[in-house]
Amino acid sequence: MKHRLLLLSLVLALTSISASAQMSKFKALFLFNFAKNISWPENSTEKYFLVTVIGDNELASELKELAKVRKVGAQQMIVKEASTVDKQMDNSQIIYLAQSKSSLMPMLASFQKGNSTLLVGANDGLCAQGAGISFVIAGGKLKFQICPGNIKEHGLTLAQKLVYLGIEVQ
Amino acid sequence: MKKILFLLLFILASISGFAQEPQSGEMTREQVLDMSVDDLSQLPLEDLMTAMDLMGVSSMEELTNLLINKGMSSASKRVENAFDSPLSSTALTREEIEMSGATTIEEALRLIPGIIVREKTNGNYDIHIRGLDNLPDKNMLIYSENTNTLLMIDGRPVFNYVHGGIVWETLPVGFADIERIEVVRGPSSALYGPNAVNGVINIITADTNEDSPLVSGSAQVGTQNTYTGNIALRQDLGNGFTTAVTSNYQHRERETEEIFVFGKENMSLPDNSGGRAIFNKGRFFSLEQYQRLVDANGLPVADPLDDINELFAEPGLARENYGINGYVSYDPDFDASFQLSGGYQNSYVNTSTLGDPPTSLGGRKSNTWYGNLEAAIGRLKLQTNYTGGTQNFATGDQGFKIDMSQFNASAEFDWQLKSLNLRPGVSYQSAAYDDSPYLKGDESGYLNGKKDLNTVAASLRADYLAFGKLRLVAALRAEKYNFPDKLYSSWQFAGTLPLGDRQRIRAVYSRANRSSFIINSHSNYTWDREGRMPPRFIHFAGNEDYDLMTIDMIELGYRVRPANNIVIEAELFGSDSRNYGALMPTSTTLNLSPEIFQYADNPIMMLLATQPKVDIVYQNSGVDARQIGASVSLDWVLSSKFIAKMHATWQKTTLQDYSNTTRDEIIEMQMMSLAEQIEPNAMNIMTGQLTELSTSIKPTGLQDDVEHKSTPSLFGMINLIYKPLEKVELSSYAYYLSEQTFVNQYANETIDPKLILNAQATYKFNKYASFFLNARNLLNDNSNEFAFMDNIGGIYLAGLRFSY
Repeated sequence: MKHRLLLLSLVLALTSISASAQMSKFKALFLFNFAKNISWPENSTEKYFLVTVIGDNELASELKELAKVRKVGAQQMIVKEASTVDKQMDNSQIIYLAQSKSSLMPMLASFQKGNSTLLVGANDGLCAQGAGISFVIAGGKLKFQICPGNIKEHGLTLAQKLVYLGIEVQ
Repeated sequence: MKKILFLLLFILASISGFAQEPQSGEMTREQVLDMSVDDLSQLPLEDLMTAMDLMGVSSMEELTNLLINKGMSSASKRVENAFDSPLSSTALTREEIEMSGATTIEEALRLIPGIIVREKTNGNYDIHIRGLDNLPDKNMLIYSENTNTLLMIDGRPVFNYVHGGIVWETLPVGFADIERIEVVRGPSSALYGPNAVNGVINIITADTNEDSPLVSGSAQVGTQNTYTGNIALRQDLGNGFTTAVTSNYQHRERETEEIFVFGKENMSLPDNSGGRAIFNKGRFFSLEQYQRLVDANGLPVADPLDDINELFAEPGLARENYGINGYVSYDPDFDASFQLSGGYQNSYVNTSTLGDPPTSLGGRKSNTWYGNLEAAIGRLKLQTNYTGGTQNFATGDQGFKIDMSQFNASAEFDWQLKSLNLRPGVSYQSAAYDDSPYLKGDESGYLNGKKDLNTVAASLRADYLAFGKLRLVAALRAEKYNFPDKLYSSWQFAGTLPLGDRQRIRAVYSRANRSSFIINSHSNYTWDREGRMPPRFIHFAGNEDYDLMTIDMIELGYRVRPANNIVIEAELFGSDSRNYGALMPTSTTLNLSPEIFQYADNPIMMLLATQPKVDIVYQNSGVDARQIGASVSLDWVLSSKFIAKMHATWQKTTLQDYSNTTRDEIIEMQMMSLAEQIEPNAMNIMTGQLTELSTSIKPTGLQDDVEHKSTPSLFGMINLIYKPLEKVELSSYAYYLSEQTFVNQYANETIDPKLILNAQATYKFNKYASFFLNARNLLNDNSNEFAFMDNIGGIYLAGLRFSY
């Protein structure tokens, strides 16, 4: 009986892992596309395109896999992981804040004020707290909210296509 | 007929949703599955989105997102992950409510840890967070109302400042309005002002956006003539404007037309053959029997001045109410947003009385309207609202019909400075009530004019992340009341420390207080009891200078997410609350004249002849309540087909400086003391030298360490949801209340433990419409959940839910 329960737990845990892995893969692809459709000021771009992921190991792994095969323009994509918000991520082009860390968004926005950084959140309502883009799940689909005002505030220029494809919020 | 037409509208609205679902683009799911990450990364964003849509978010992911990664805004006044909330708090989403089959907002609160929900009559509930209910006891039923929880809709207080408490049926919103219900447990006055003593319930209404369904809602019909319906029409108007109109309706009947009459020693009911049945205990009687009941002295139990047909115009009705709401939202291009809402509700219920009749049941009618404006301009948050209308807190009873107006205005600034968030705020509240428009001639109300309560407050909340990990929160609030003319401060200190990504430990120390209520400060009601047992007159008076009930609480919490699909939470809490108060006798006076001696052979008649007058004044009772408790909760998405949720709370409350005397026993003591003085003073009375006797004696002797049993020591819920097929959902939850002993001034009642099993089976035709069968109290355990109130048996319903 004990063994069956253990097996059931294992199956259920694997189901959960498989589902979240697929979600992480698509989020990584979305982030890569955001990078392609947003222009950073020249003085903020260097040899590398730095993406910092706070609190989501799975997404960071997917991005690292992607970085092996794709570049952002001519820049090599470097993926860094962090567990909290600090000054060391000041030179990141994109900072992604996992759902479990979403409470840090106002602080992240304050730390990154004036930096050429795209702040991406993982759930609804974060654009109101400073995120430029935030993922949402609506109607069984992964979508993203986009706040052009927040993105422009960081000196970034975004392709109109992003606004058109996303859910625009102010 | 009106009800059937109403339901027909709902059904028609849902049938329009049976159309075919739109087809996806040219790419197929199989093609997407065959693509490598490299292939997918070469797709332009629009094609990647199509591919993602084809794959869809897995049900597992969606459920996990819905149930495990909820947003919560009430604990920190901004949206955060509920897992990170610094306070004991829970968010209950609209989807969870739908899955539970709850038929009222009040019932849905059974899904939230720490909330005691007891049904009084069909659809009318007593709701308390963690307990501290019915304090002080041995008094009127009104003191069982929850005056310790602040209810808000989108931050707008919906609170009864006349008596304190929540008049649940006057909520203008229904399920179609709600996005989620957030509950913060523990003293929260520092965040939301007075009356958030044991917590806050904040109903968050849904935003309208381009993805919102045009029409959504539900309707169901069931036994005990139970009809409920909710509908919302939503439209994104473009250019930042959205609008919505919602409506809700409920009609619920009682299983009986009888009413509970409190027992009196040797109370009897004469029959037609000259005999009489004796009743020493309270029980249910028909209205006709109630009018014939007499006490041991042959005096009627019912107030002879009452019109029974006005008191109980529809004794078989438990609840009928409807509400209409309108919402307009504007998000301009600049950093601002504006939300305007307004609505109206009309309600009539028969539930526990707010008056002081010999029965436990009373009618309550309300029609109220509101307007609410919220504006966010940059980091400045402004909110102002007004609620007006007429409420009759005891239908058919003179003096209980009152015009009400409540005004609130607040401003807060959200200032983020690196790791420090500061939120200074100011607020003003005015609550005014006026019974004079409804008093005819020399009738006495219990206010006899317009009375008000005003509060001015200033607050500051600081939220700091130290060392990148340790979250420290300090909230302070100072409030100046006009009655009592005092300054009160409340606070909340909280700390949260993450242990890795999956665990949080937290601690809270907080203080909160109630505000004054109109009857506490301004009661001015003379109750003429002609034709009943003495005293002849009881005058209820307010007190403009007393201490507000205050609570201090310490709480320790632990949250763990052992896997992405499980959250377990445990908390320990201990509190000390004091300065409870009640309308209690201060003195009794007899009017003396030589004529009283004509009744020398009948002491009762002699006492009646003195026309005893009792002065009852609102005063602090001195009792101190100490509560310790623990809650544990679990949310587990086992698979895309199976969800399990549970919570349980244990608590123990002990009372210090407890008076074991009822209000009526004090009155009796004072009258007897005076009666004993008549004979020794007979000569002075006969000669007219003594015309009045008065006393203020009170019982002495207070008890310590008395266990308060009105609150169940254990309560909680287990909820299982199973989706065997894509279109079928089976949901069941069992809610448990352990034994409780309720004490008021007339009687005690011990209520046995009760397990209420509920179940719902839903068949989804398509994404637009579903049909469901719903059973509340499936096993038909036909017993009462609240003292002296109705037996609550099973109710079986069928309904439609639609979204198009």
